[in-house]
Amino acid sequence: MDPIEESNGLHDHVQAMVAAFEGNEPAPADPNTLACDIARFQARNIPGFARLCARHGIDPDELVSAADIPAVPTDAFKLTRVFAFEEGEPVVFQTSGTTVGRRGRHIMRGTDTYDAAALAFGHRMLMPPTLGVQPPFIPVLVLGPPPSEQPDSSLTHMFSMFATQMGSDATGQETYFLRDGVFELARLDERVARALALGEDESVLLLGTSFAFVHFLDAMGSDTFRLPKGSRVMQTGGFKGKSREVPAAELRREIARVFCIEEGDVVSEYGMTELSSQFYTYPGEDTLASIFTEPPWASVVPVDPETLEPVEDGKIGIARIVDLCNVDSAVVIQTQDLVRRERDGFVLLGRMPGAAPRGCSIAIDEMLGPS
Amino acid sequence: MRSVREKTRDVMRILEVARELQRDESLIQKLVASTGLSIEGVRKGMAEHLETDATEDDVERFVLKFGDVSRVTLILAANVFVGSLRAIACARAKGERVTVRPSSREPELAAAIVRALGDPNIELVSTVEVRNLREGEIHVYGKDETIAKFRAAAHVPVIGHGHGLGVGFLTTKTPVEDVLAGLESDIVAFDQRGCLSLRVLFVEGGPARAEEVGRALHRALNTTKVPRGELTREERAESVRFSDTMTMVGEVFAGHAHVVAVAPSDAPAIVPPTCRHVLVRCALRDAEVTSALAPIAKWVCAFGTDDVARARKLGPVHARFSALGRMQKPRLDGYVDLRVT
Repeated sequence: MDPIEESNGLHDHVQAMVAAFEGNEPAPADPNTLACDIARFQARNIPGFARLCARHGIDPDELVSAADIPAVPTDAFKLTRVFAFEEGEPVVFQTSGTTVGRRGRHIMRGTDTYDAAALAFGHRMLMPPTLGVQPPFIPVLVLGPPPSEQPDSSLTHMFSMFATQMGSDATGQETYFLRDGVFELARLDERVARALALGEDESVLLLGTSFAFVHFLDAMGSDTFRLPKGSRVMQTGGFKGKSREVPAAELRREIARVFCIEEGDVVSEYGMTELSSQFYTYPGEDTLASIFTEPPWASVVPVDPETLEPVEDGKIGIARIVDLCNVDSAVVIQTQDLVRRERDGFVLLGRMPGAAPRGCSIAIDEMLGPS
Repeated sequence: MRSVREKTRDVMRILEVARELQRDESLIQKLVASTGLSIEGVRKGMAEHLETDATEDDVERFVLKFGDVSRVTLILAANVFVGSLRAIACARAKGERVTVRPSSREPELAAAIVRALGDPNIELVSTVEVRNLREGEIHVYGKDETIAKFRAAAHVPVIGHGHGLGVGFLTTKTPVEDVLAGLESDIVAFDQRGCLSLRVLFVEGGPARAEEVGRALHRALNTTKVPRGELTREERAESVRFSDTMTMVGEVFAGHAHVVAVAPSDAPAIVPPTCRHVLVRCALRDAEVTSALAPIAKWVCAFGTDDVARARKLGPVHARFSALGRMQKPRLDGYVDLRVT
């Protein structure tokens, strides 16, 4: 079959799964079977992935379980083209960090599947339950730069999409409050004041990176910046050496304090450039504050870093992530993030440290610096 | 202040003691236990890489490179075991008195040298309170982060020897078979834990030649007479990660105790983990070597090649340039790390 046609067919299946989720209907396809179909497509069209399958003794044509699909290390996105098509780069998202001068690149044919999945799950996890499923919704404010400043960032793309698709009508000036690396607090203040003036029901959704929130907290000191009642804050990502590091629970507590909202209304997102799907902590419930949940089209399995086999229940492993939305790149990726399954989700426990040097040879972690 | 003659005598005495220790079987056993290297690996280090063959003239030239301070406090935070010999020699060449704090991971050789010397001007300690030191200078061998920490706390000058790596460049003028034994030695010694260890090899020519070199290296490492030492769990995990990543990029030749990855010329010179992991990368033009080296140049301590004159134009000025097979056998000519000024 023509690779484009095959890719289109697989995207259709994944989008149907997303639509079913939105409509609270049963999944129209078995995620496991679909993952294997995508892996076969990728093995036929990505030589590196075909080699990886061979190295692990996997014949893609014989795959029956997503658990057997070899995971592509996220490092590979920095070193080679992980894309099912030799020509063209219709959409490229790049990582912010570099490895030996190279940024990771996630190439996509388009963002339709990404957008549909991100919106469906983002809406479910971020929007206050009092809101309906049809727009217009609530003001979406971004403690980050506009897309024009970071056109190749998947996170900025997602924020922008949330603002336009989930938010009420607003201009860029009314949405993005970080320009050229400077917070525009006066404009944010004015925007929030306008929302407050509209009454008790005019809650907002504030999106930002962890390090942006830390800078915001540092700027505010002991002051508060009251958001309308019922507002939610979504924070994501690590600190990447761009701010002081704050433990997750403390950051959540401090965000809740400064914005005068409940801790349960601070939702954490876990995602990465190499993925097309995202994971969120359960909103509203303090007891589940650190547990990330998955959409039906993506799953996280802690695996042993040495054998890459799933670890026993309750044990810590590195996150192997199946993401059906990665149709044209890598349906299973291997991260170095430490996770543990808990209840119906997983907790993030930082990044696996590299091997300690046993001599004067430089270690990989030392070269990479803070991540 | 000691004369050059006296300094030369002091350093010669250190080398003499090291020569005696080279044959000390009980020390070799202790080094196997402390380093985790195989016994063959420790024997190779002691026999081939301990810098004991310097002549009196060499040592005189060596001591002339150092000034004089009343005391050198030598902190060995992380170094390959043979590195402690040169570190002590440098400290003694400069310091009227020397205090040695061996690496906690590998204390055996440094301690054995100091004890065997019986020199009242060289003392062995297990801890050093850096902020209490008020005279002389401190020599630290360790991570940049460790060095920075000592610099922040110290009231005296700190000479830091950071971590590093070795790269190689094989031109088209030499068939790979002619340098294979040397390449093997540069990789196998200390299981690549040294700052002079070969980890990235540029091969002049196209992908086919890089693959030929990769295959040849794989065969050589498969039949090496020096078994690899034990790996930690983290090292084994890094090996898996490197192998899978490089399989996505190019060809990977994995043996029972090594991984040789062959990358195309557009791949960056990603530095493999230690413990016998090598990246072989083809380079059609010299400019490809310099541009691939740029992001890692500051860490390159050794540059092995079959064409030193040409390599000097490609590698960083602070690297030690040598023939392949000699990367981990530097002459006793000063600090091992030429980045130290």
